[in-house]
Order: sequence, then C-alpha cells, then structure tokens
Amino acid sequence: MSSPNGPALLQVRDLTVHHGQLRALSNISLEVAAGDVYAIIGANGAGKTTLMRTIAGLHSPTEGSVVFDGKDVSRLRPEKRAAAGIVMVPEGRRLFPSLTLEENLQVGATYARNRRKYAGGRGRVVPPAQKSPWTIERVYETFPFMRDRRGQKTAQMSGGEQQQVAIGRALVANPRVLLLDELSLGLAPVIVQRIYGTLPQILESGITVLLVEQDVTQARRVATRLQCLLEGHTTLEGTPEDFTSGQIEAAYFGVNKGVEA
Amino acid sequence: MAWVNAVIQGVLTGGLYALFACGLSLMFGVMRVVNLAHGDLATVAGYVGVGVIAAVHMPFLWSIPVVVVVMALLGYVLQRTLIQAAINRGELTTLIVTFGLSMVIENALLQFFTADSRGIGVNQSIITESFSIGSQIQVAWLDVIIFALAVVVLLGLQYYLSSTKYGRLIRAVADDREAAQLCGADYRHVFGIAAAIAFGTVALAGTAYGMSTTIDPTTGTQTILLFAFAAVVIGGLGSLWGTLIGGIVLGVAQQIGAQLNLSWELLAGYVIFLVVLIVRPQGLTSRRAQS
Repeated sequence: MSSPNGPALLQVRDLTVHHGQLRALSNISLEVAAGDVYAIIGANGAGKTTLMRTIAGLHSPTEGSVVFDGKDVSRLRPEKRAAAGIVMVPEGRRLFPSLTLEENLQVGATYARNRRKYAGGRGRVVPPAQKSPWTIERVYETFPFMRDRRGQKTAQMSGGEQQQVAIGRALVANPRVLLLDELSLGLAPVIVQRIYGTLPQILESGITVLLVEQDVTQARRVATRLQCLLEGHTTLEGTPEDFTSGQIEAAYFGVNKGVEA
Repeated sequence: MAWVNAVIQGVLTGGLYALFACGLSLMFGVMRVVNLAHGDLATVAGYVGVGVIAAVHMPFLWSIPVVVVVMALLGYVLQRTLIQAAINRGELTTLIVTFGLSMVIENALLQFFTADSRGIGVNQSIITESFSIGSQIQVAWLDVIIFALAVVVLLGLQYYLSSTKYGRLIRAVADDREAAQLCGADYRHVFGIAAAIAFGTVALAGTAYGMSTTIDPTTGTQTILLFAFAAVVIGGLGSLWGTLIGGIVLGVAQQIGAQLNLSWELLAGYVIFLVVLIVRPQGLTSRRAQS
C-alpha cells in the first residue's frame, strides 16, 4: 500500500471502534503519504466522522492503532495529537461562539506546533512550507473577508464564512495533517467551490489533507487517493483513476456489488 | 434617613456578596459545576487566615495574599483531582461530590477548631473605624474597602478573561471543550486555572467576611453559599457584573427588610430572590441568555 509520494505520514491500522454496543467501524486501514489529499467517502452513518474523530483522538478505538510519523499515537490525548500536527476541522465547524473571529484564530495558534523541531534533518524531505508557517496574518491573506471582520462574533457569520474561520483556526496550529470533516455540509455549491479553491494553497504549504466528503464528484476532483466506507466497512480503496463512476456508486450505496465491481 | 442608611449599607454589603458569588458563577460558567462546597471553602479561607496569623505572627493584612495563594493552589489541585473525576462521571456527580466535600469540610472544621465563632483581625483599627454622613448615617471603612475590593476583583477578572491568553482559553473551553482540545488545549488544565481563580476570590470573600463579622464551621453552608447562590441567580448566571448587581439587590433587600422588622432581614432577601426567579428567571443582566 505504500504510496509513490514516500513513506506514510499517517497510518490507520485495522481500526475497530464501538459506540457503546454499536460497532461503528470494522477493521479500517488507510495510509496517507505526505502531500496526499486522501478522501473518505460514504453515505450518512457509514462511519466517516467516527474515523476522523478517532484519528483526532476524540474516540478510543476498541482495536487497532493510529500511527503518525512512525509513532503510535493511539493512546495520546486529542490536544497532544493537535500539538504534534494532527489537526481537525470538526464537522459542524464548532467555532467558539462567544469569541470574536480573531480570538478564535488566536486560540488555534496558542499551541501551534513547534516548527523548528521539524524544519530540518532526520533524513526526511521537509516540505518548504514547514519553514514558513501559517500565521493569523497569512490566514487573513488567504481569506480576505476576515481582516475587516476580525472583531465580530462568529455566530453572526454565514455558514461558509464560519467554515473558513474553522479552517483558519486549524491552519494557524501549523498541522502536518489537516483533517477536514464534511466541509461542504449545509453550504451552497458556489461556497463549497470557493472553499475548495483554497485547497491548493494549503497543499503548497506542505500540509497533507485527509478529508471526509459526501459529495463523490467533489471528492474525486480533489483526491489523490480515496476510500469508500459503507456501514463501517471499507468497500473500495485506491486512486480516483482506478475506478469508474459505476464502481464508486456501487461501493457507496452497497448495491449491485457483485455486478459492477 | 433610616431608609437612606439601609440602602447605603445594603449596597456596601452587596460588594461582599459579589465577592462570594463571582467564584461560584465562574465555576458554573466554565465547568458547569455547581460547587456546593463554595461557602465552606470561604470559611476554610477564613480559618487559614486565622491560623496563618496565629502561627507566624504575620501582620494580619499580609496574611490575606498568603491565604489567597494557598486557596488558589488548593483550587487547582481539587479541580484536577476530585472535581475533574466527578465531571468525568456526569453533571449530577459533581453535585453529589461537592455536597460531600461540603460536609467533610464542615465537620473537619468542627473537629479541629470547635464550634466557637472567630473573627479575623479583631480590634484592628481598619476594622473598627467608621465615618459619618450627616448626623445619622455611620459607614464602616471596612465595608467601603470590601466593596471597592469587589469592584477591583471584578474589573481584574474581566480584564483577565477578555485580554489574556488563558482568559481566552477559559472562554473557549467554556464554549466548547472538545473544539478547544482540537486546538491543542488541555481543558483539564484550563479548568484548573479557572478553579484557582474561583478559589482565590472565595478566599478574599471568606477573609472579608471573617473581618466584618465572625465565622464558625457552619457559616459556609448556612449563610455564605445561600447568599452567593441568591446573588448569582438574581444577577444572571454566567455574568460577572451580574454578581455585583445581584449582590447589591440582595443586600439592599435585606437591609430594607431589617428596617421594616429586624426579623425580616433574611426573609426579604429570599423574597426578592424568588420574585426574580419567577419574573426574570434568566436574571437581571442576561446578556447571553442563550447560546
């Protein structure tokens, strides 16, 4: 499963997660290489968000492990994972409603990863942006609407604006892997396009992206690898070019499995 | 003139109640913990003050910062151990645990300090001196100082919460602790800091109370906790300045009640408390009634 981009930055090995009695994920594995845009697709209730939350540390797996940069982080608390470079933009954005836009970003930057630790050496190819980290200023340059509205409470902003603030809040933590959970949820298609339009800048800065997306077309457009989940199981894994639309559709809905695939 | 006097005394007492209430309000606002041991902790602070003065013969005003620091450290430790463990087991558990803590403290104080009541800094000039307004109104300097202290504490808290790194984190964690974790913040540590602040303010309040009257092991539950609760509810949960307004309303109501009939002092306070609860359950200052 090793990717042409080099050794995996983030690995999920045989992950099984339960919500109480319910088995939400069964033996999920994935390998995200540095520079990848890895997309998880699947219908509602497939376990996509559970997978993301488990990688971020908000759920404990019943079995299996999460390995980041060669280290098993399965037992690490979510705040430690964030500081190590796994930063998630959670589903529903989850901004701090009583804080202003700028304060939201400041909270995100409080425990920003110590970039010097990663800037050089250890024989690894360090993406250039590791040396030019994300700052609040740079977020304002990337999302120009924010500068004038930095003193506003985010509760008064539109869903798309809130989503961009949530991305900004994650970027200023200087992630190595950015987890984007359902970016497009509840947003107009034109807004979704605009938000995905900033993805190249994020990637250029050396950040690897793992995203969850219900919109398969969108996922295929941006992903370098994708995996489809259905009821907590992997139904398909590979590069977008490996599969036809029909195969993906079958994996997504779980119909005509034998016929199409 | 007697009525004017009642209002002045009531307003000044309100400062003391605000000192009691702001820590209770902070802990509820940030951790969603209703700390039923809050009043007893104020009493503990009073006894620590008595003990510090007696043990090291410290000038009594200097003992105050010592007591505040000791209580703040105790707050951090208790939050990180007992209260956090209760939070992990659900909101109801925090009520039971802090109730238990309250009983443990009260009985431990009875055991070690007996049921005798004590004052702090009795006979110090700062405590006994007063000035007159006109011919009939006597105002104690101590009451004025405590009121000013309450305002300074609230101003300081407001500045801390709005303009410092940890203040921002406290507000963020109060909003959404999981999102704060995703930003790299250990909410348990932030809770600890909030508890340290709350315990520091209650230490000030307990010391002030011990100076203006006397404390005994049951003062915490029988007086302080109830007044703090009433002030928080009247002012509005989660609002800092609301605790001052709530404290003042409570204080004035008590003084006016006492003016009508001495035995109505407490009654009048609780009547106002109930009226506010019925007419304006979100409190008088409900900036963020719902979020």
